[in-house]
Amino acid sequence: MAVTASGLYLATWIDILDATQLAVDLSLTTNKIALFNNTITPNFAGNGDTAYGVAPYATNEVTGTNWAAGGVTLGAPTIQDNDGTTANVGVLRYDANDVSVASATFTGARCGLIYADALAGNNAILLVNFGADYSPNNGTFSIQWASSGIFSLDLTP
Amino acid sequence: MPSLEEQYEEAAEAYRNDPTDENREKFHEARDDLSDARSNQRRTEEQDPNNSRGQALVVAENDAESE
Repeated sequence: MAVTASGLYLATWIDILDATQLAVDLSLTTNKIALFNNTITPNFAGNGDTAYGVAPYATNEVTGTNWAAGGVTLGAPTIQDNDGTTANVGVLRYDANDVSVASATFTGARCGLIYADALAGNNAILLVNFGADYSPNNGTFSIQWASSGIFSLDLTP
Repeated sequence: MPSLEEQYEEAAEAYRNDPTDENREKFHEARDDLSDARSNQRRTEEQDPNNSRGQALVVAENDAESE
């Protein structure tokens, strides 16, 4: 059991694009990032993981002082055609403010699950693998996204 | 003057409430201004001056007294 990669959840993205018309809105400030430890093994496939609060995201959540269950919202989210340097180049980029929480204490955050908290299903959007366990002790926990954003899709490779 | 983030949120709300072409254009302009400023700031941060990661940078600080 381990987190080895970041990824988008195909089950959700298929439901966004097909007749289901799942109403995931990446521009909402209600989308959240919750933290999980390295016990989980994400499954990004179409028949895999679906939502926050559904296995494997029903357990192994990392919480603590100033980091409650459910996580924190992502501020000022943007979706645009930009590769992080140049606009209108056929790259779909999702970005948001960096995450910064002061005086936080928790143990073993290995990854962040971004999900649609505004939807009843809390649909999983993507997982960010931190690459190591992070355990702030009454200190600032921060996630600085790359200039290429939280994720980017090259739609014109 | 409102911050870029405030301008973006106002434009986003205005577009959601009244999805005209004009509001859409303002929404996109505010989005691009905020996004460009954010990307430029990250590129100049000390942690990643070369902006070569392509990944999120996670930092977990400890209380100075516990060091």
